[in-house]
Amino acid sequence: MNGNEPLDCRDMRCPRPIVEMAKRMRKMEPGQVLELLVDDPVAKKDVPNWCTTTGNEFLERRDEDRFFRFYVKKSDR
Amino acid sequence: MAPLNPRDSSTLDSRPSTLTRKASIVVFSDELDRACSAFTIANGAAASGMEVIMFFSCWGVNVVRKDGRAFRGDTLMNRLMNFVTRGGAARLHLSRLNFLGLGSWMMRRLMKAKNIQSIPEMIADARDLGVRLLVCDNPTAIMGLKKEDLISDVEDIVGVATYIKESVGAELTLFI
Repeated sequence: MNGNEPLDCRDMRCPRPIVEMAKRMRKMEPGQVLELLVDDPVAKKDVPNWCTTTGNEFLERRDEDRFFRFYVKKSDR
Repeated sequence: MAPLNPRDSSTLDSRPSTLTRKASIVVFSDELDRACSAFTIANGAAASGMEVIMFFSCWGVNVVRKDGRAFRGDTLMNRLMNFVTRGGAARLHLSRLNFLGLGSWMMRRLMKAKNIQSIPEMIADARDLGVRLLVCDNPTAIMGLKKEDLISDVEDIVGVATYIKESVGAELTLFI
């Protein structure tokens, strides 16, 4: 994933995963992909909705045993 | 890899994100629960790329006051008001079920146990995200407060015309 560290937001609740993701994305280049780990179930909707609002590209959600992995691509907008 | 249909999980329309959207939140109250809502929405909006201003009026000023008590002001009543309205984001009370502070203490413990951020933590995030904090002029006069009595994140003490100017065009306006 372009050498980016995954962003571990497990044990964080709303709004923190979104806030941490926004902070990380600011430091990334367009085209780079962020891997985000979250266990708060609202993230299932919040992460894709955040992408819709901000114009970043939602790639995928993988469901693990106790958490979700999200892949979000930074857009050039 | 399951491709995501944006309409599946999104209730938002997809307007161009290049347009800077604005959120304007009036924080009128100084209760823990209400301040929690205000900062959750403010930080969520800022993280979603919105320009966010929070305008602290009336009791809301206590949320952005430095911790500690003082006895300052022009008149005795003014000084008393300053004294009884102790501020500080870490010592706010609940609007309901406060029970002389026991409810608030329990709520803080519960929030911590459930990994919900405290108000001081949310203020720190608001700072990182560039949320602008403005304070209404009149309550500072009533409570005998000066800019140095407020946390350093407060941009300015302003009047209503400045609040209006900053809020014009806001798509999201809240009074909490």
